[in-house]
This record gives sequence, C-alpha cells and structure tokens, in this order.
Amino acid sequence: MEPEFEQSKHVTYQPAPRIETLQGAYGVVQRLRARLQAQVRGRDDVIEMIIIALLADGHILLEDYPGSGKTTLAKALGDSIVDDQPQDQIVTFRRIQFTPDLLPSDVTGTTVFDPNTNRFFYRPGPLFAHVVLADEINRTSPKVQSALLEAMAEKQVTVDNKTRPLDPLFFVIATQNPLDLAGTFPLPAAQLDRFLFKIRMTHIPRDAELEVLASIRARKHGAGQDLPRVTRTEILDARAVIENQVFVAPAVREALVDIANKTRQDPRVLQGASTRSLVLMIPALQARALTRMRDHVTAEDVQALAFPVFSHRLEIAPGAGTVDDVIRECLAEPLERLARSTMVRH
Amino acid sequence: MNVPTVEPGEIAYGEPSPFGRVVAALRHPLRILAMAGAALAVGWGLSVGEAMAAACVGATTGVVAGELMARSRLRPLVAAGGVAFVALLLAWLGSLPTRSEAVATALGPGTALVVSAVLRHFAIAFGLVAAMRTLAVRYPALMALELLLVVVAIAAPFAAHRQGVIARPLWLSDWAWRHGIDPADVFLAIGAGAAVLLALLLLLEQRGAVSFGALVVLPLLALLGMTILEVAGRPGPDPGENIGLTTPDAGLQPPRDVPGDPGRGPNRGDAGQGDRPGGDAGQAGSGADGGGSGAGRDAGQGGAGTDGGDGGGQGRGLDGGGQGGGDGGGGGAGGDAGRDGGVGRGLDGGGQGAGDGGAEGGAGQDGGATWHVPSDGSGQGTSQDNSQQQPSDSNQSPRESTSRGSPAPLAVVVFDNDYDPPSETYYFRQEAWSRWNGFRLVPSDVPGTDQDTLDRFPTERVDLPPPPARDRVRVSGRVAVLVEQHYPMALETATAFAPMPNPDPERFVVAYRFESLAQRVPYEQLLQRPVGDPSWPEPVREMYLQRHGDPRFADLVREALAAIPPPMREYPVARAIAIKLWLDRNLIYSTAERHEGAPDPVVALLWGNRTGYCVHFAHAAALLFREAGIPARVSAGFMAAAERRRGGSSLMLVGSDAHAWPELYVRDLGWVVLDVTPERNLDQPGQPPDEDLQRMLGEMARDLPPDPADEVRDETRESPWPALGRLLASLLALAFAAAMALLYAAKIWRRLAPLWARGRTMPLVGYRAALDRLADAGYRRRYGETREQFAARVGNVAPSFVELTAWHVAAAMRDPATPPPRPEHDRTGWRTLLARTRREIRRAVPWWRRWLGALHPTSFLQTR
Repeated sequence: MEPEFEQSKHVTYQPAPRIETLQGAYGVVQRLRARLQAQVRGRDDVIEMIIIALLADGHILLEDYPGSGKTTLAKALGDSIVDDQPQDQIVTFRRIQFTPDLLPSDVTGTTVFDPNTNRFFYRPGPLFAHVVLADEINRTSPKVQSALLEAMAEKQVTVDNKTRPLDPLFFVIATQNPLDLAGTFPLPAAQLDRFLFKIRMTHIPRDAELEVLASIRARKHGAGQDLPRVTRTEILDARAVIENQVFVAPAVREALVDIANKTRQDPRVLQGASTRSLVLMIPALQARALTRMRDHVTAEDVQALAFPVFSHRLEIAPGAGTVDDVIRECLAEPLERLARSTMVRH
Repeated sequence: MNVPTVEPGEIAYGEPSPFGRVVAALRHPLRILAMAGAALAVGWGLSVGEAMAAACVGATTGVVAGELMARSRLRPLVAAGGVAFVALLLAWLGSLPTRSEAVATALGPGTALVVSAVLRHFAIAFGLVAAMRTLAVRYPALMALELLLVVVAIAAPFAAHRQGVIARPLWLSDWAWRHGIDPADVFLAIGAGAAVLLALLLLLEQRGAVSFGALVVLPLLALLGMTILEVAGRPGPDPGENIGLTTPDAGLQPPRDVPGDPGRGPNRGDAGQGDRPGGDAGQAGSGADGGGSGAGRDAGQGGAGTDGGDGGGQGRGLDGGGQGGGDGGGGGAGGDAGRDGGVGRGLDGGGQGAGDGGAEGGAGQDGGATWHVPSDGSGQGTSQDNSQQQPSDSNQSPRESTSRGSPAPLAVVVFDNDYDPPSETYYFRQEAWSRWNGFRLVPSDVPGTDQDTLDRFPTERVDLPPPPARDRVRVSGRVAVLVEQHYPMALETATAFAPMPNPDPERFVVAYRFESLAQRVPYEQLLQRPVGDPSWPEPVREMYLQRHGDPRFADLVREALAAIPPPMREYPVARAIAIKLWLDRNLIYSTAERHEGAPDPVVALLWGNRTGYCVHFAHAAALLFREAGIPARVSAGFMAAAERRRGGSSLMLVGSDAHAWPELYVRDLGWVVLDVTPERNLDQPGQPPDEDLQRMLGEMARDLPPDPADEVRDETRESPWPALGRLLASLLALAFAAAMALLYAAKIWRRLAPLWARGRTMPLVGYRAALDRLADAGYRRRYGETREQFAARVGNVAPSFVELTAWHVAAAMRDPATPPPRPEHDRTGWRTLLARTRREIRRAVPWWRRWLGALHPTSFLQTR
C-alpha cells in the first residue's frame, strides 16, 4: 500500500452484519437517502435516481449547469459509503475534471519506473474508487472518453496489456453542460448507451434555494455527519438481495419489450431502444421497487424510469419533436395493456 | 432535476399513423364542402348567381375563420361576438349600395344590386358558419348544431318532394327527366351523398369507438322516431288554420271594378264577416234588390258545409268563387239563389226545375227565370252556378267577374295515371242534358240513356255502363271535394265511382274515386266516322235528334257547311266540326250578356247579338248538330286546360272552371266533346289558379291508401304500416328495456360481489367495485394512465383508494410463489378498505353527482 494515497477518514474495521432481506436492503436505501438529503437540499428526485442507479449497478449522466450542486452530491455519496476493505487501495470518492489535454493514463493509471528497485510498478488512476465524479465528460478527447467507458462497462482497466479489475462497487457520476458546447466532443450514441440514466437537472425551486442559503453554515460544519453510513459490502449485499427477491412479473417484461418495439417502429425515431437498455433497466426497476418498499415491480416503476433510461438512447429525426413526447406516446399503449393485465384473473 | 413524468391528461391516444393523420386532416375540406353546399342549397333561387357564389365563399371563409378564432386565446363568446360583429359590418356595407343614392348612382343600379346581394350573402354565410365553428371547436357538443344546420339546409329544397309524387325542385327533376334518369334516384343519391358526408365528418371529428357506436345507434333512433311517427300519425294542418283557401282578401277577392253597381259594397262587406243574422235578413228580403246578395253569400256559406266558426275562411273561399264573379256581394247573391234553387229542387230533373226555380225568391226576383238549368241548382250552389247562368242576378255580370276574379278551389282531382286529352282540355262531366223541352235541354227521361253520370255520391262501388272501349284509354283518379256539390264529377266518360275515406274531414266535404274511359283518338281521325248507334231504340234516337223547330237553324247549318268542300259535307262529324268552326268565328264570348228574359235564349243568341257564354253556346251547338242530323246533347261540369296540371298529378278545380259543352255521339266511340271556343272574348282573362295551393291540396287529397279495391271492400281496415310500425316500436322498446335491465343487473352485481367474494378474488372483485363507485362519481382512469397514477389522482377524494390500488397491483404483480400471509388476499382487510373508500367518496362527492352516476346504466362499462 502506497502511503501517498489518501484513505477515507471514516474507516471502520468492525464488519457490519450481512444483509439478506429486503427489509435490510431498504435500510441501506433509508440511510443513504437520509445522508444525501441532509447535505443536498432540493434535489430529492436526483438523490432518488442516484440511489436507484447505485443499487442497480448502473452509471449516471447528469446534464446540468455549473454550480448546481453535482459535486456536492457526488461527494456526499462518497462520504456516505464506508470502505470496509481499506487494504485494497481503493478509495471511496474521486473527482476527475475532464479537459481536452487529458490522457487515458491520467484516468486509468500508468506504470512508473522506480529507480530504487529498478522496476516498473503500476500506479492506479482515479478510477480506482467507489464513486467517481467525471466532470464535463464531453470536454475531453474521445480517447479518454472511451477509456473511461471501457472501465464503466467492464469494471476493469487495461494498462500495458495488463487488465486490472476495478472495485465491484465502481459507480460513475458523469456530468456535461448542455449549453456550452464549443470545443466539446459529444458522446456518441454507443457510449451514451453505457449510462443507465441520463438526468436533466433544472434549477431548484425557490423554497429549496432559500433553504440552501439558510443551511450553508450548518452543512459546512458537517451537517448530517453523524447520520449512519453504509458500508461497501452492505451495498453489494443489497444489490444481490434486490436481484433475487424483487419480483418482475412477466407482464412487466412484456411491457418493456413492447415499449422498445414501439420506439423502433416509430417513424420519428432513427434509432430505437437497444436490448442492452432493457437488460440494464430490469435491475433499475427492481431497485426502484425497493425504494418504494415493494417486493415487486409495477407499471409505475416502468413509467417513472422509462424517461431517464430511454431519453439518451433514442435518436430522434430532426424536427420530429422532443424525445419526451416520443417516449410518452410509445409508453401509452404498453402501459395501458399492463394496467389492464391486473384485472385478469391469475 | 426534472424527471419528465407523464401528465395524465396528455396521454390521450396512441400515435396516429401518417395515413390516419392525413385522413383526420381531411375533415377540414370535408366541412368546407358541407358548409358551402348548405349555403348553396339555402341560397338557391333566392338570389343571383354571384350572390350564391359569395355565400359559398362566405361559408368557406367562415370555416377557416372559425377554426382560427377557436385556436386563438380569445374566449369563445368573445370570438363568436367578434365574428358576428364582422358579419354585421359586412352586411351594413352590403346595404350601402342600395340605400345610399350616391353609391348606387356611382355603381349603376344593376351593379349596385349585385354588389349588395353579394356582400350580404357573404356576410350572412360567413357570420353564421364562423360563429358556429368557433363555438363547436371549443364546445364539441355544439357541433350537433352545425350538422343540424347542414341537414336542414340540404333537406329544405326537397321538402316539397314526398313519396315520389311531386318532383320538387323542378329544375333538378326536369334535368333528370331530360337525361332519362328517374328524379327519385337523383334525390336518393343526393341524400345518400349528404349522409355519407356528414357521417364522415362526424367520424373524423371524434376518433375512437364512440363514434362508430353512435353511427349504429343514430339510424336506430331515427327508425324508432319514424315508427313512433307512424303510430302516432303526423300532425295534420289545423283545420281552423288558413291554408290558402282563405288567403287574405287581397289574394282572393275579385277586383271590385264593375261600375254602376251601387249597394253591393256594403252587402259584400257584411257577408264577408260571415254575419249570419244579417245574411238571413238579406235572404228574407232577397226579392227586393241587391241587398239579397248578402244573403246569397251567407247561404253559400252554409252550403259549403262548413260550420259557422269556420265560415270566415271556408265561406270566404266559396264567396271568392261565388262572387267570383262578383265584385262583391252580388255574386254572393247569385250563389244564394242558386243554392236555394238547388236545395229546393233536389233533382231538378225533368223540367220542373224551372218552375221550382221560379218559385225561389231568386228566380222570382229575376222576373224571367229563363235559363234555369238544373246545373245551377244541383251544381253546387256556389259561385260557379251563378257565374254560369244564375237567373237571379239579373243585374250582374257573373261570368265576367268570374273569369276575372281569383279562382276559389272547389275540388281537387288526383290522377292515378297520366292522360293527355286530344283537346288539351280535361272535361269533368257532372250532368248530361239530352231532352229538348222547347226552351232548353234537360236531363233525359228515357230509361237507359245518359247513364254516364251519377246523381248521388257513391256509398259503394257503382259501375256505369261503359262506352265502347275502342280508341279510349282507361284513366282513374281521386276527387276530394272542398265545397258541397250535388253530383259527383268524373273525367269523361265515367265507368265507375267508388267511395273513399275522407282524407281530411275538416277540409274536404267528400272524397271518392272514379274510373273513366277517356277519349284518346284525335279529332282528325273521327272525321269519317259514322254517328249514332244503330242499336238505339227509336225513342232514344228521337230524343238525341230532336230539333229546335225553327227553320232558320237549317239555313244556318247550310251557311256553316258552305265553308267546307262538298265531299266532306257527307260526313256527319265533319259537318259538326264545320258548325263548330262557324260558331267559333261568329259568336262572341261575354258573361255580361245573359239573354235574360228572352223567350228563347238560343234564338236570341244566334239571331240577336250573337253574344253569350258557354251554356248558350252549348245549346246552340247541340241544336245545330241535331239540325245537321247528328245525335247531340249538352253536358255540364268542369273544364280545365291540361297544362294546368303542370306535369303533376293533381289538378285543382276552381269556381271559374264550371262549364257546359256540346257533345255528339260517334259510333263505336260514344259521346265526344266538341266544344265551342269563340274567337272573340269580351271578358278579361282570369288569373291562373294558385299552383302551390293546387300542390298542397293534391298532397292532402293524396294522403290516402292508393289501392281502391281495399277501401271499397273494407273501409275500416287500416293500412298495414301502422300495425307493423307498432310492432317494430314495441320490439325496439322491449329490446331497449331488456338491454337496460341487463346493464343495471350487471352494475348491481359488480357492486355487491365483494360481499361474497373469497379472499383470493377480492383483489379483482373488490377493486372493480371501488372502480365502479369512482366511475359513478365521475373519476375514470384515462388511457395509458397507470393504476398508481389514477389512484394518486383520486387520492384527494378517496385516500384509501391508493392503498386499495397497491393491494390490487400487488396481487397481480407479486411473485405468485410468495408464501402467505399476503395482505392483498385478506378478505376482511379488503372489506375495511372498501368501506373506508365508500365513506370517503360519499364525503367528497356531492350527492346528486353520485346519484346521477348510480342511475347511469353504462358507467361501469367505462371503467378499466
């Protein structure tokens, strides 16, 4: 272990009890929610989506303006997770500011020659963290972008032909500025597909903004720091519990396929929803059902997640309207069928 | 962040296909078409072509403007008001060219009128259409108003066309006939086209299954309405109502322009008011002077068979005829006397009529009751009598006034088949006079002769001995008599009479059918035919050939025959025609000359001033025919030019149609009319009868089952239609009641099912009951809305419903292998939740809304 790597200050060496029930998994959700809401005001909906993405093992792309609290949010998330395996050199939180001159090795890490030992050793990049904030991801070159995206998809990095695994918890929150597009490298559709959600953030309501101003001091002095955290193992356990114990009814799966087909058949859509998006969406639906204290996925989950899941995956023909309208129209019929399926005797 | 969520209201329909969008956009041109067509249909014939085009353009603009206004942010009433303002402004502008002298002179009178009409038609069409469109877009229910307008506008031109009889509008039916198409097909095509257009509009306007259902239900409703109408019967015109028989005096009263007729005006006025006592008084004193005329009118009124209350109308009409002549009360007086005579004499029969007539005040007053033919008396006691030869009006010129006076209808004839007489005139025979009594011709007293008339109205089918059928065509028809007559009339030569139910007892006095064998062969082909009938017994031949006795008749016949080549003189019919032509040339028609007081009116006519009217001519001609050895007689009745039928099937007979004409007997053909038509006429031509009135009376008379056999056999039997209609209506009502009962039963069952449902079915049955309850209160899940969304939406009404929904969804979406206990299968839990939901709904929704929903039979069909 290299001494120069800063460790999380909140290290605990007592292993927490394993989580095996939905009740326990919901406890994880509650703890995360409470900590994040204490630190970030007026963003409950984004917090919700982040928790869902974290539990669904997906990544998030935030589209918003500078100064809207995304770093705070990501940092608070990293802060809420306790690294119960401090020996593995992986920290809880890293932030990478993407710039045009960034190199892939700046992200993945590189091999360095140690004159003392006359040997090369691998120096891990910032990706070796539980939560990575990839700021302004569209400002860097495609080379760096693809390095990051490989890491996101495969949970591993390859440096000097050697593949190194990342932590199973590896969770990326990427951001991009929707307006300031000069000198940017917009992400291609294939790479956007790797993000589970794309969430557009708008300015928070007046009351929430007032609350933010009123609570600056409190938060500066560690508001919510005394709230319980979750450990890395707990999150991984929760993921397993969700996967195994939240039921996805066949009707729901049918609805997903129907929706995807609808988007593919819509004449306004150049590229419809991919199968991967559906595969990624199932755990997200399960996670959302958990956040609602349910052991089954319902139409409501489908409807709520369809927009963040599909909005960046559909390519709309120019001048054919907004992607939200298209999704809304594609949803109507499958959701109606799903709703009616509940009235059928089982 | 803002996760875009689906607004419930925004999910309405699935994405329409491009084809669907094109079809949906079609409704605008379709509506423009419908509106322009409606404007054209309304404006047709009202104005010049430019104005109609302007109306079409106005309607088109109105549709566009209405759509635009409806999409603006204006409030609907403001928008409609703005449209109305623009329309009024345009209409005002349109009135400028005709009101302002300066504008009119600048444009020129013709242009000014056209510009004015164009602007006004445009304004009206634009304003109406745009205002309605604006409102209809905002409140879709008001679209019914639009469609109704289109329907009425398209139906209006065809309103006169019923049962395929009258082909109105004439311009269209004429066009169809010219191209060899049945107008009924054209009308049907137009109706079908309009129906398809409207149905398409309706369909495109409201997408979805509701409209399709409505398209099925609408014809059913129309059928129901028709059967109800069939059962209840159509509302007939109010008998007291003025239908034109009694149009304002201006229309029917003859011009009172006979000078030197003092003392008649007041009387006329008197009678016009139907003042019965006054009239009676007048009658009493009718011997004296013109004062009697008032009485005449009054009596005529009574004779018309109308009661006193109605007298104002009916009586007046009759007066019109009566005075038909008259300018006034004078004619009425004649009517009175004539009627009196008729009534008194009954059948004036063999010449006592004269004496009888003489006994009557009217005749006595006249002093020389000379030409008192029975026709007067029996003839109908109406105007037409006096107009012909009423002796009582010595000081009057009835015929003149008759011809000039506006015709009052006496009867309406509806032909069953088309018949064009060779003389281009219909002769309706009422009586035949064959026996010469030294003064005039009177009905035959020889048994078995002149049996082609009937001296009473038929109460059962009466077959008359038919004439030889060769060269004759069978014609039948119906006659509805408006003013009481003594004899039935029929197209010459009648073969049968049959009674018929009175189509409108308030309007018609009596109705009957006739069958005739009418002359078909033209006169030219008769020239060489022999006359008389060899089978006649001697007394009959003698009677038909009985001569006047004055030797001058033979001279006159010779003079007449001199005009034709000698070989032709051998043929009797040619001789008769020669005599007719001579009479045509040498006689002068005038109703003013009545030959009253003359000991022998025929002699007075032929060797006097040669002036007279139809009865005189008919007698002269018949006697001259006999002088030339041709069997002849005089018939009386009505005459009407064939063109008066105007291509329709009904013919209205008016007072001035009364006529008498000579006839001769052609072998193997029977009695043939050979009328005298003098070239010179001192009378002014009369007004043609009112065509609309003729049409209307024809329709009223036609309102009868067409099959004569039915009525003759069984008058009480109704046509099968009402019975069938009743059956259909009751079947429909039964089906409707059954459907309602079924719906309510289903509704109640769904509501009560949770009472006995098991725990496992509760999520379905209980949730369904809650949904029904919410639907009754007006809350329904929208298309594409998830159950949770719906629950959240009604959460402020019934918070328990949110939990209920969660249970329902969980029952369906949870892993079926989930071990019990499962709360969503808990029966008592469901009962509690349902009860709570019910209480919450009751608290939140006003009682009337809930009751209305409970009464709604199909509300549960809309839950999903």
